[in-house]
Parts: sequence; structure tokens; C-alpha cells
Amino acid sequence: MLSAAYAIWLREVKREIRERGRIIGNLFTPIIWLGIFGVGLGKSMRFSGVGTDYLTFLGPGIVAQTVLFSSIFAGVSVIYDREYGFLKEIMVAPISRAEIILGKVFGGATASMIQGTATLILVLFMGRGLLPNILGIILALGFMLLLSLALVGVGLVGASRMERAGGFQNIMRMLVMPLFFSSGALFPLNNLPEWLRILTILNPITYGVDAIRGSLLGISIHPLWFNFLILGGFTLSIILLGAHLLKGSEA
Amino acid sequence: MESGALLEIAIRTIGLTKRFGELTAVDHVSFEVRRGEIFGFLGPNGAGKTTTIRMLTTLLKPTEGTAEVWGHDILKERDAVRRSIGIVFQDPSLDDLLTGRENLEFHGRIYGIPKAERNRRIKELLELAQLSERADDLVRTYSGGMRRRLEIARGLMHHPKVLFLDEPTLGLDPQTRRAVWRYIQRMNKDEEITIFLTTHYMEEADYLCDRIAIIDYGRIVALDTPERLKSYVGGEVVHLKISETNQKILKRLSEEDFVQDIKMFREGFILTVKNGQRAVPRLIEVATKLGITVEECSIHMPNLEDVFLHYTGRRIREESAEKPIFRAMWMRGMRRR
Repeated sequence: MLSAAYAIWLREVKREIRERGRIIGNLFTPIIWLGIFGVGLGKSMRFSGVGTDYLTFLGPGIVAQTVLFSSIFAGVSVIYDREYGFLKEIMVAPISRAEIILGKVFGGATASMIQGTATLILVLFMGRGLLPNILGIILALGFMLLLSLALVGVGLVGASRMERAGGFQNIMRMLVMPLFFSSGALFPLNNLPEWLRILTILNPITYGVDAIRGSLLGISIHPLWFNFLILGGFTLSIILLGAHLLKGSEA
Repeated sequence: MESGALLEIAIRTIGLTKRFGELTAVDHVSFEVRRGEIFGFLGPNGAGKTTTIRMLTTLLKPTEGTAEVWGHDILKERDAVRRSIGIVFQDPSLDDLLTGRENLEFHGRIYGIPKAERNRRIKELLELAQLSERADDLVRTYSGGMRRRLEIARGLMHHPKVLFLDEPTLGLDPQTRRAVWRYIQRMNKDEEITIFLTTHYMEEADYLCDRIAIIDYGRIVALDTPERLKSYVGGEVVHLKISETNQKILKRLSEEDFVQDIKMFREGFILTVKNGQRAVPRLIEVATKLGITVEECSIHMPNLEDVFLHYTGRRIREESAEKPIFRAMWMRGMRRR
């Protein structure tokens, strides 16, 4: 009886695929980060606690970044659906809010995984001394999915009360940069001042970055199961919150 | 399970009321829609038509009163109501990045229609809507009339018992409007479906509806077949356009025994008269004696416009044609609450 969730998922995926050029266009950002930022910084600085060369260290961080950027804006689709009237078609059907959320979340996550996987392939080619086994890649894909589910959830919560797409995008943009910079995607988290360390601990993305890096490189702060618990718990709560908020919102 | 009397009834409302703060949008409305009929809600913009539809389709909770749709209570049996109805909203609600077929498929899936039946139904409805050839084009490339037909077809995907159409031909050109009318009639016959529609176009209500409820300021002021509503006006209707209007002329004209009813407007009078052929020369004679020039004079059998005037003392066109912008803003305000 998940036919409605499937329909909503399928629609999101179709719309994503029909936006031609997006996948190629979105690969541009990680190429810049890795090719210029990663190569440049790696050549001119020495990092302690990296455990490998900087470009290799950065790779999993950029994979997480792609997932972060592409997931958190997925919530905007709810706002567009409301603006263009399509949300009414969904809201008037005899289906539960849970199914709507399920379809929306997995739809957004699937779109984001397409981007994330493209970046992952790029990273596997660019990183030096990076020869992860199949298990590592599968684990990394699993954590990417979990991370994108969490972030699509954040987007949906943000979108549930917003009327205009512009306002939503501004708020999300404000959120994205601090989340990205304090996640450990760009630098190791072992020599930080106390205030920044607390920030990284509170940031749910930290656990996603750590888990993806752990899966691909075997270098991580926390054990994978710990990252899984924290990230999984966060994902579950945010989706439940989103479902609750959508219940109160009118088409 | 259901009583005999109930079987004949598609929709029954009992004191249905909706207030938005100070504004009473729908005011203790009670009526019944019979199974198989095309029932029209006719009234000016802002009369409470859309609010009524939103309550009947469980999108909005009434402040007071309740309603039954196909025997299901709109408050207690929300999902059963939703399964029995199809809705075509006033504003477009198609996904224009999907094809026509995909829009129908989406609908079939969220209503849980199994694949084989879904495909058969899609084929059938595309033919009915005369969209078979364009089925696999993006809706983005469709004309206004095509979108409307697709939307109505989509509302029928899950074999609803009652189809709600909120201003089905709003914004369409006259030719397309006629095509949509014929399509609605065919649907009513071929699918044996009860249709509840709102409109502020008199010709539309007159052409399509078996029975019409005239709604004004949230209240039903009259309910009957178009023919009988028109007969209530009595006599024929004379429009008199004259150089000036004032109370004195109004009083003088109303003293004539053939005048049954008279209403004054900026540009002249609208009178209901007995024996119009003879009344008109008399009217002109009286006017001339008063020193007034009659600029234009027309006589016709009563139409729904006259019915509306008869019951409300106002003309429906004055409200609908001049305030489209105000209306749009008001609707947005409603939706946000």
C-alpha cells in the first residue's frame, strides 16, 4: 500500500532527470573544490592529523558537500508545488501524510544521490593512494543516503511553513555555509579551539562526513556504528517533525 | 445499508457555515443534490462558492453544520468522502513538467488503482478528452482548453461518484468554453456521474445545469431548475436606457399597472412587465410626457441574470467583471488561513 509514496517518488525523479544539464553543471562545483582548492592547499600547507595527503583527505568531504548542497534545497519542491497548485492534487487524495513525506523525502534523496554518486566517482579517480574495496564504497553510499535523507528532512521542515521559494532559499543558504565549514569536510577536527569543537559536535553533518571518510579511507574520529546511530537518530526525528508540520499546513 | 431516500441523494448539507474572523463566507446553507444531476452553484465572486466546495471536499472544516457526500459525513469519514469524489480546482493543478499521460498515471497511483485497470482507464479518458494524440507531450505545451480537459479527465480517473468543478471554464475563450460544456455533458451521461459545479457565468449555468442554487453573500437565495427560476421573475424584462434617472420618474413608472417590478440603475431602468409588446409603447409615452428621452429600449424573456436581479436587487455582472484583481487577492488571503 505504498503506491502513493511510489508515485510521489517517481514524479520527483522524473522531474530531476528532465532538468537537462543539471548533473553535468553540478559536477562543476566539486571539480573546482578538488582541482583548485584541494590541489592548491595541499601543495602549499602541511596538515597534522590528516593521515594521508590533503587531496585524498578532502575527497570524501566534497562528496558530503555535494550531498549537502543538493539535498537541502529539495524541500523547495514543496513550495513550488504549492505555488503552482499541484500540492492540492496530492493533499486531497485519500492518503496519509506519512506517505506524502515518505515519497517526498526519498524522491529528494534519490535526486541528491545521483549527484553524490557522480562526485564519488570523480573523487575515486582524483584521490591518490585511494583504493577502497567494494565494501567501503557500499558503506559510503549507504552513509550518503542517510545524510541526504536527513538533509532533505531539514529542507522539508524549512519549507513546511514558507510561502515563497525565494525566502526559503535565502534561509537555507544561510544555513549551508556554517554547516559545511564546521563539518570537518575541509580540515581535521583534532586541534580546534573549544568553541569551534562544540560547534562541530552539534553539527549533524560532522557525523556524515566522518562516516563517509571512514568508509572510503579508514580514517575517522568516531567508529562507524556511532556515526550511524547519531545520524540515523537525527534523520528519523527530522522526518517525523516534517510529517507533523505538514499535517498542519494547508494546500 | 442505506435507506431508500438516501439513495437518491448525492450531497446533503445541513446548516453548513464557514466564518473567517468577521466575515461569514458561507451562512447556514442547506441543500440537496440528487444523484445523476448536474447541479450548479451560481453567484458573484466572493459569494462563498469556492468555500462551499472546499468544505464539501474535506479541504476546509466548517465552523458550524455539516454535510454528507454520497452518504459519508465530511467530518467523520474524510477518506471515504475523498474516495467518492473527483475535484477540478479553479486554479490549474497539473504538473506541466510531466506529460498528459503521466499526470493521469500519477493520479491513478495515488488513488491505488492497479496497473492494468489504470492503463485501460487512462486510454479511455484520453479518448474522451480527445487528447490521445498529445498524451505523451509535456503538459507545458498544451493550450488552456487542453489543460482543462486533461484536468477534468484526471478528476474522473478513480471512478468518483461526484465530480466537483470549481469555475470549470474560467479564463477560456467562448469557443473553448462551449467545447468544455459539451465535454462535461458527455461525462455526465457516459460516466453516469453527479456533477456539482460553481460558476458566475449565467449562460453556463443555464446551458449545463439541471438545477441551480443562486448564492449571494454566503446564502442560497433561490434553488430550482433554470426554467422555473426564470418563470418566477414573471412577465418579460424591459431594459430602458434614458437620459436621466431620478426617484420621481421611478415612482411615476411604477404606478403603471402593467409594471410588476422596477429597478433603477445609473444608466436607466430594468422593468418586469406583463404583455411586453404592448407595454413598451406605453412606457415610451409616459417617459416622453415627463420630458425624458428614451435612448435605447430592449425587451426579452427573463434569463438567469434577471433571476439574480430579482432575488438580490443587484446585477451579477457588476460584481464579477470589474473586480478580478480584488478577487485574486481575496482568494490568496483565504488560502493562507
